Amino acid sequence: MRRKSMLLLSALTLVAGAMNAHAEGLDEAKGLWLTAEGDAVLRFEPCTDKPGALCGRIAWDKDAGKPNDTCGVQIAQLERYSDGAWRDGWIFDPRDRKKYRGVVRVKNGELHVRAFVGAEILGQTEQFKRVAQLPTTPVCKS
Amino acid sequence: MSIAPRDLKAAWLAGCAALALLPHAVQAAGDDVARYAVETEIKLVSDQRTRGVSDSMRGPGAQVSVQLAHESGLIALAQLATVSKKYYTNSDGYNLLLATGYRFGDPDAWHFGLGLAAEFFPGAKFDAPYAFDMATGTPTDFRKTNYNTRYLVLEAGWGAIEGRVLSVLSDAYRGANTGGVCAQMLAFMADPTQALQCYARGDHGVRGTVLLDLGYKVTVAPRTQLTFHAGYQRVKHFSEANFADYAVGITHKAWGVQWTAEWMKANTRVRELYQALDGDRVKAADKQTVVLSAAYKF
Repeated sequence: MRRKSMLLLSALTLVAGAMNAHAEGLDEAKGLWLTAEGDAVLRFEPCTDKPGALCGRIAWDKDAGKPNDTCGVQIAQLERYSDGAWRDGWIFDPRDRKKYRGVVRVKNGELHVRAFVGAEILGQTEQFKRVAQLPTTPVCKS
Repeated sequence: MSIAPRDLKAAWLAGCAALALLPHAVQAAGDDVARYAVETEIKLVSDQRTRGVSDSMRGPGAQVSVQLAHESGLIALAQLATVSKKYYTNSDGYNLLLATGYRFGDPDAWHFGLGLAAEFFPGAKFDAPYAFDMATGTPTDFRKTNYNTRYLVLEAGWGAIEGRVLSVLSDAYRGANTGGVCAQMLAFMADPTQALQCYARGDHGVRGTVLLDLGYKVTVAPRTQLTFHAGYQRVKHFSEANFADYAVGITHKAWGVQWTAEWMKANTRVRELYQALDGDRVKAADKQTVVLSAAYKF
């Protein structure tokens, strides 16, 4: 009887651990992320209009206030989290103004945003560094 | 222009097949997500090299490439690069590479590719003896040969490790066959013994030649990568032309441009096969060097 209880407890601990890891993975991509070039910061957070999905917007642009200001532009929407990544959605590249299929994952503390056509192999990954807050200037109005 | 009609036709058919498989030229789809991507790259180099050997006779060069990837997995590449008119005799000064194929798999795990490629050296050809009359001591059977080459391409990678095998489908590989190899040795080697041994093996093409490449990239900073390359070519019937090549480079992205410095070395077995006359002096194309380049993608 005691052995059965121990087994049940172990199984519950494992399930709880896996659920915690899943929840941590889910939340890991949320927050502020600076581009490798240091010219923009993305904010990833739950989509307001799509429960369970993750959205990404440009929260800071070094060109804020200029004609090429991209502040507030939505650059990602990922529908579900599985196998350690946010998937089933799109990535918008403001440089060529095109939407691609996308996958977003955190690896070694960095955000990897992969935009692709068809399958992941046909794409490119950009890496972002986590930042605690937005640069003070220039200020995004949208 | 000396593009062989058969090669041109094969490349044209491959290009048409690639385009025919594109369902719609413009992205479309209800969710307006791109169905294909086109990437153009312009690159300036201090030395245009292939497998560690200079195509530009250690001079600067330029390269333009356009790559198309379709959601089906189909890819197509067209690349134009400058080459030396001295190294590629009578050349118009450029090399055109056309390739098409299919890629699949997981970029973070196993991934594969399969394709066909053809490269052309417009105008480039040389007149060389394909036989040697040992009785009279004179080269014979002079024929014109071009440098155009066709390949079967196989790719296999695991994460950032990329492997590639090219198998030569044409009779000559960048001019290498009996006329290209034996005659070059006869012309440039002080001792003709090796060249005569080469001729004594008879007239051969090099279909089945294998080129191996192994590459690895590692990101050391958000905009900086280290690159490593090792290659080997095994030329069928002409072991004199076999060699290994190595490269180690660093790439940094700044102002939208990829700046690269790459040390390249080719361990050629018979160096005379990679020499050309520059005026009245012989210049080696296989000398190790550091190649600097700037590439812009859009």
